[in-house]
Amino acid sequence: MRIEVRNISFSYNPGQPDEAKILDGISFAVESGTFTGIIGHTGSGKTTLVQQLNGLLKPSSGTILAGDADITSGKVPMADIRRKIGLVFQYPEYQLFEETVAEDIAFGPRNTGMPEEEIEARTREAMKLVGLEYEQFAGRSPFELSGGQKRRAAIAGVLAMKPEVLIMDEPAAGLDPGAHTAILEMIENIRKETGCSIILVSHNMDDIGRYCDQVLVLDHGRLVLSGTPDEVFGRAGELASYGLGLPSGRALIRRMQALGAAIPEEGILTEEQAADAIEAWWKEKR
Amino acid sequence: MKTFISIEGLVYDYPARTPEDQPVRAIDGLDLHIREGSFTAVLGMNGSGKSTLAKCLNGLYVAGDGRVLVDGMDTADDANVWKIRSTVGMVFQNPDNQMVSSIVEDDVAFGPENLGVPSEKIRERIDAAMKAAGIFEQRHRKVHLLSGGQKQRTAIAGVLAMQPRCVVFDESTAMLDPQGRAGVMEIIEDLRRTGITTILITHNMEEAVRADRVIVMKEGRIILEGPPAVVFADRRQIEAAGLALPASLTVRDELIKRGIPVPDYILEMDALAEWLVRTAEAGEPDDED
Repeated sequence: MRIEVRNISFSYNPGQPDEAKILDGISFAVESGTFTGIIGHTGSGKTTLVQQLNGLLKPSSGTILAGDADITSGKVPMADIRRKIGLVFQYPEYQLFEETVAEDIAFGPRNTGMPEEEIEARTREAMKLVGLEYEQFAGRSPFELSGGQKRRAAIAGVLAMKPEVLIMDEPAAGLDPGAHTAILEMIENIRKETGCSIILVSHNMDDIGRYCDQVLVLDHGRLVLSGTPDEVFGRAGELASYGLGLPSGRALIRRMQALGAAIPEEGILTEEQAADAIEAWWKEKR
Repeated sequence: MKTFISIEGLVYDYPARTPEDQPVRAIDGLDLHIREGSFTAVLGMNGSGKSTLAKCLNGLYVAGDGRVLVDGMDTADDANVWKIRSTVGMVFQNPDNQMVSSIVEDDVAFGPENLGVPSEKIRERIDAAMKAAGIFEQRHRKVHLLSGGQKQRTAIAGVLAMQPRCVVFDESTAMLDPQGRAGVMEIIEDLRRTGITTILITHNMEEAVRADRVIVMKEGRIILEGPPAVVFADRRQIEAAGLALPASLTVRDELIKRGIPVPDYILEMDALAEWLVRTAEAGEPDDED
């Protein structure tokens, strides 16, 4: 499902003397099945923006189209929208509450009143997607799981609704490096397996560079920069002024340029790509 | 340099939640000696015991077995508690949990006021602490209007105002954006220059390579320790501990695979860039024909 955001703004206490403008005239589109990253310093409006996308907050002005439906019109059933556009909050494991992992994941589907067989099939499928073995984990208490496993269980709860768009707000926050990489690989795999689009809010430029098709940069509630990762990370000076950096590999190449090396930075988003570029440059020099 | 924190045979169990449950062992016979003025990074996967260890360092948790000495004072001795808490300051992950007042400078003054520091001294102390933490310009602002990075700076200033000789940062950069993280790392480098012992618990490997010494924990024990160059050379143990290499070393490995002989002592990105450019410029005489 395609999402199109047209000139949305959002304020707390609009029209009042203490009006606080959180989002200011934002427009962009997320094409079906793509991977979009949203970056910006703390307080730039990232979380507020994604809450608009599944209707948790309503923009003060502007429209949001989900497929053909205008979700800001007030005429679309929001339960439908929230089913199609799944939002995984920061630290989603704090929202686990059922006695068993399977019950927790089944909570959403059960609320829609679907038949038991369908609920079980969806629970199994969601657990498979997040890499939790059904036989091993279904009957366990979510509170006995490790941090990374809890987070997978919480994400499975959203996947069980079969969303067409999956929004993840800092899904790897607080995880150790091994679990961090595994969660990001899992997200990319979910996109490939289910064809849903991913919107990832992150502070990690390496993840953004590695996985995204499109990057949106927010600063003080405005969309200040957008494009492919290569385009966005090609504007290092501008990003620095928004308190943001570069993927490690690209940062290394830029550092070498500053020291006088004639080495192109275009297309470099990962450590491997940086190593390839350095190899080519090295061979020419030696 | 003398040993500042001395841990011998430390065991810590979290009590059972219900009568049927067993206590959970978080620290399982740990020995560690930390030199005064050093910068130590503690790594390990979620649940490996890092934060429990941190809380044992200033007597928030008391050893179930073994002992923890801070500058010779046993944390298990109630008579030492206040002295130890003002000697070892703690900065946590979420600065919101550490704020007590609504205005920055009031928050920073809270600790010294409670210690009964005379008010003319308090002004001096908190100004110095706020300058060291880079929050002096914001001293009259409301805490809830600060960015995450500024809140963490305020929390650090509050700890520094106690004039500790050691500061423990328990994942204090985890919730911050890149700029906020860089700010906290700069403060840590400054503290190290002034001779304050710093201990940084982190999931960020780029931060860890800047330490004098890296400790890797797994299941309540130390499985690997030494200077960053030595610890990160043990790829197998690093992976077993749920960790990753810093990006600089990932690139270094990739370069070595491609036949570029980057030496072992290159750990940080800047050093790698400098070595590459310098070495390529110098060239090798027999390669130039």
